[in-house]
Amino acid sequence: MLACVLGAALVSGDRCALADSTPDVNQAKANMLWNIAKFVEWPALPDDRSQPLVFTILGEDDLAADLAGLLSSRTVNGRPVFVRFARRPQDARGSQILYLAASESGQMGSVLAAVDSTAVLTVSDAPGFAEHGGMVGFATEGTRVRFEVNRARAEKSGLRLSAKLLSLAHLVDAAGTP
Amino acid sequence: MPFFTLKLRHKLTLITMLTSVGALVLACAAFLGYELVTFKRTLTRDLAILGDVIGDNSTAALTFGDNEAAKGVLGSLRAQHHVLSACVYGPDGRPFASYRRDPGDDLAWPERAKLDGFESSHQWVSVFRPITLDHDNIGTVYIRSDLGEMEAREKRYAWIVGLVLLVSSLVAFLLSTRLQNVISGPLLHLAAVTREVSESRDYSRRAISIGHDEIGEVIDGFNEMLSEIQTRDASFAATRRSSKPRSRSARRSWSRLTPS
Repeated sequence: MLACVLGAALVSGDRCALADSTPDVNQAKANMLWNIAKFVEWPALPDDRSQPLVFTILGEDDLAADLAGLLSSRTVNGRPVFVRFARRPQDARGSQILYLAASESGQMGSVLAAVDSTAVLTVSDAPGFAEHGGMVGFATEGTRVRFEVNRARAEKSGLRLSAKLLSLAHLVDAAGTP
Repeated sequence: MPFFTLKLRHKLTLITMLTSVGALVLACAAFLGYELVTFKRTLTRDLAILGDVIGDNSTAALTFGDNEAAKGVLGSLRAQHHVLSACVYGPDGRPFASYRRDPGDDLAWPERAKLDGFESSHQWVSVFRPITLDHDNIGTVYIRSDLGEMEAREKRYAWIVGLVLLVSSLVAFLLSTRLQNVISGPLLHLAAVTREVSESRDYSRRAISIGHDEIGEVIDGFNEMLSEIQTRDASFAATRRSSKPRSRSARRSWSRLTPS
């Protein structure tokens, strides 16, 4: 919650750092995150569908704003969605999906350590994310999305990835710990 | 009419056979007709289910724009020999990935996706099914199947119906030839006794009556008539035997009475 307020305060002043992220790319990424969430199950979440699914965006405030805009009127598997902006790795705790911007890949180790063995799906477009202990790394090629999934990590955290998603993914075996 | 010249036995068998085979043919025709009507419906329903499975398996491929993965999902239709072609359409209604059984087939799927429903020609049936993910419509799947399965099934049904007809007609024939004895037996016996009586003039013969139905009544009546004839014959013979001397004395008394 604190991260959200903090992020909202920072969002206007921090745009220059994200100059390379055009609105279209952010839209596509927001769509990606939303779509990935549809293929993941969080068995630890209570059955109560009013409990929101929390997305934490670390390092790309424009993306977080776009994602919040995209998901404001939508649900994921019947659950409302809550989007948080974050700065520090420990802010990721308590969310269901953590997106780490490629620009923040320097923090990758500490971020992954902060959410290690909690049921948080870690997603990033940073190269080699899955090999380095992340769960889902992706890269867009035109309209097509390429995935790298570290299945062992996801299962260790108690997440269930749909076989349909896995069938599209390049599976990475590295059980690399941050 | 040749029917009326037939023997009773044959008439009874023929009547029974006509009745049972007629009823059987009607029942089989109804059964076959119902199958023909419902089979196309069953086929489209099966096709819709197949479409839903394919659609469900293509959700991730559609969501993440992976044509190759969708093609792989459609390729699993190769195990369904009757599927001629299939196509997954994107949310814009344009073909996203497709499959065809015979590579030469040109018009294997429509250019644009249509709403949920089915189409058919005399060579194939096809269905459109929406693909949904998390309550959102993300595309459409189209599957076209040939009628080979239907023809094979019709042929199989025709064989079964033919066999059922043949076997049950045979059983009906065997049963009717045995069971018609219940009616024809007493009548034939009566006919035989009648023939014997009229040939031998032996009115002491009796027909044996079994059961209390109308034939039994006829036989009882016949027996009563015979015994009546027998009694009359006996009394007539007795009269004849005693009438000779009596007539002589009568004549005598007559002459006595008459003055000569």
